[in-house]
Amino acid sequence: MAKKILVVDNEEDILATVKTALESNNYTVITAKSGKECLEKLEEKPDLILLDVMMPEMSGWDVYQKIKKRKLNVRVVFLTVLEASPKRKAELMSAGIVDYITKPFSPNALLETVRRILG
Amino acid sequence: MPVVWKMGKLRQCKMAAKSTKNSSRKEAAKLERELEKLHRKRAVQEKELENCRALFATLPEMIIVLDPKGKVLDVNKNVYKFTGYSKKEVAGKYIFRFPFIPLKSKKILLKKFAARVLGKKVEPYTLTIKDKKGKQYEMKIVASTIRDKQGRLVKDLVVASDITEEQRTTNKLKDSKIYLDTMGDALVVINGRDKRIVAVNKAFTKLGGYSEKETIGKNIFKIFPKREKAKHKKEMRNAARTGKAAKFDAIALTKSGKEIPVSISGTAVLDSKGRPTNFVWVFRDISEKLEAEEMLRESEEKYRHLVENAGEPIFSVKVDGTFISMNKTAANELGGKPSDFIGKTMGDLFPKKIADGQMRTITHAISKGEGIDSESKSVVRGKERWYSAHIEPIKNREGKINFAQLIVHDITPLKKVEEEMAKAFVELKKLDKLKADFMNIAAHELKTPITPIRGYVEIMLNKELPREKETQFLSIVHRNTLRLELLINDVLDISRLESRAMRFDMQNLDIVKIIKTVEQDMKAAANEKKIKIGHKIKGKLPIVKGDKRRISQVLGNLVKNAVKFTKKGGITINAFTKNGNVVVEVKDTGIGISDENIPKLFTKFFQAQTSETREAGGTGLGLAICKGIIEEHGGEVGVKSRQGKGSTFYFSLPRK
Repeated sequence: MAKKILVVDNEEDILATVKTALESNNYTVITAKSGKECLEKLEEKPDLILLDVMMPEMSGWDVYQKIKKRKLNVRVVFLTVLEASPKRKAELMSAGIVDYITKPFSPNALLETVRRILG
Repeated sequence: MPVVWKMGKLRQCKMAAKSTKNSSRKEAAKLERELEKLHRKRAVQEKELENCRALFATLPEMIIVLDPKGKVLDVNKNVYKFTGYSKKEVAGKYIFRFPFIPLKSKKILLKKFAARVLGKKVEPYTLTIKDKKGKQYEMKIVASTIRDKQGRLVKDLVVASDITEEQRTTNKLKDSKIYLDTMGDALVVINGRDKRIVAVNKAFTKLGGYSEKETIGKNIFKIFPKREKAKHKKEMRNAARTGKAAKFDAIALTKSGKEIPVSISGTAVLDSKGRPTNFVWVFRDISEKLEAEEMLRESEEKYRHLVENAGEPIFSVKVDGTFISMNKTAANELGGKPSDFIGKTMGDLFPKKIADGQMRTITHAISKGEGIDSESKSVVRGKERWYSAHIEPIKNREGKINFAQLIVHDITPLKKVEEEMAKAFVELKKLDKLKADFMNIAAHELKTPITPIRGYVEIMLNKELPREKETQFLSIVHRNTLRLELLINDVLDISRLESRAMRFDMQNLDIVKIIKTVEQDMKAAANEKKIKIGHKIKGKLPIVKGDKRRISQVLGNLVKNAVKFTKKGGITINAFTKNGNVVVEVKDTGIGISDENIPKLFTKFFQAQTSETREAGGTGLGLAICKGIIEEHGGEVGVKSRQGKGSTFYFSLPRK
């Protein structure tokens, strides 16, 4: 069965880009335009969440805290424009973030990361 | 003794009286009167003689009368006391033969006697004699001679006084001279009777500039100014009477006549009868001490002057808060003279809370025993001031601290600067954060459109896609390219405005036409949100100058914002004249702006309150660009708004 990936970003064009890249590689993609929507779509039990950090209303970080509280078996990769410092990266990793993809990204690199995580 | 030869003259007179028995009665009466006179005279003389004999017998001195050959004619009873020989034993014998005169003394005696026989003047001299038991006496010899008409010596009267004790102390003092010479203080030994100098030490000669020879035998009062003689005599008397050391300050004269201040401590050396044989005066040169005292006094004077006239307030406070001294500056600060405040307490002059606080600090310094620096707020003459103070506990000679001295510095202006700097620092920090925030927003805004551009271009490069898919992807790429272009334009505009490098094509503006064009351009966006858009022009507007494209940009921006933040209702563009200037307003019925955010609205990069939650898209540069452009035109921008009740943004352009 195809792995299910939830992509969260307030920018529709970015959602579209990620969706296109992933679907052409036989992943099932569901999208959310906000943190709130993301939390709703957790019911669909994604295997992986690609989560944008800089979003209005609820930041990716806040969303992640809520996901963690629900104790779901889901891996989360952050999508962000900001280069994280090694310290910040270590913090994120220790917080349970699986990986960290910097925008703009190459679709091939994105796929590689996703494949590595989902096997 | 003159009495002896006068007796012979009396006899002559008697004989003369007998030979005139046969003269006339008148003569006889005259003679009788003469005789009577002579009798009276003789009685007087006999009385005198009697006195002389008594004196001869009772004098403490030993008296020996010698004939020209040195044979003893007469002695007083003291001969027995000093020699152990009776009058009988010595009478009629040659003095030189007696063993009470040792060989050495005999030689001196012979020499002196011979000199007297030859008619030479002989000064008093000292002679050692020995009694039968071998006890030695030092005798001072004064001799007088009785001579006949031819000047030949008839009788030699030797008066010998006992100076043994005196000599002994003098010798003792002379013996200790070797020690005395090593003394730093000047020392002089004075003869108790004649006040002549007996001995001095090296320090004395050095102090006075005299040689030792010059001082010995000299009257002590020659080395003191005349005016001080009475003082020394008094001190000598007291020392002799009380047996206590005299201590007093005096002036010593050097050989060259220079006066040196000295402190003298002196003692009287008394003989067994309590008479002073010697005085020992020890001098200490106190000119340096006096000089040091003078310097100290001068420096204290200087210090006082310094404190009195210091530009800083200086005052002293007792442990109980009482002011005990204060300089003029301190009094000025309090609005009066020092005398107005000395004796008053901290509590009298300052509000209780401040006075208590000050006293706590002062008490702390006093209990610590060392100076401390403090900074405090005070209220002086109703004005709030900041002071820094150095508090120094002052010790008295016993090391006890009774008060503290405060040197105060008014740091109110400094504090103001400090406060302003702290404020500026906070502002700077804020600005810094704004900048960092902007960098984050800018990075986000720039990278967001690039992400789909790069993503789709790469997807299309990797795989051949159907035409319709390609068109769909390319339109996404195109849209994002335009978005990126807008953003780059905004960033360029703001950096041009900041560096004042924006060029304006100034010309007469038709404001109404610009309003109509912008309204037309925005109509579609407004219609899409079901918002009405319209305009109202009040009266005839004056002609103003400006860059048509830039003013259109400003108005467009304001209307675009209004559309963005308005959900229902409408937008009105108003134009009117105020104070001769043209004012254009964009009034909406949107969400409004909180009072807190209004002042920050036109600062660039303001929009994102936190970097991660932004309520609206955009760069946050639009209003900052509007403000920059309008201000470059000499106009003003502003906003009136209430949260939830809509906003009115306006700008003015000055009349030409």
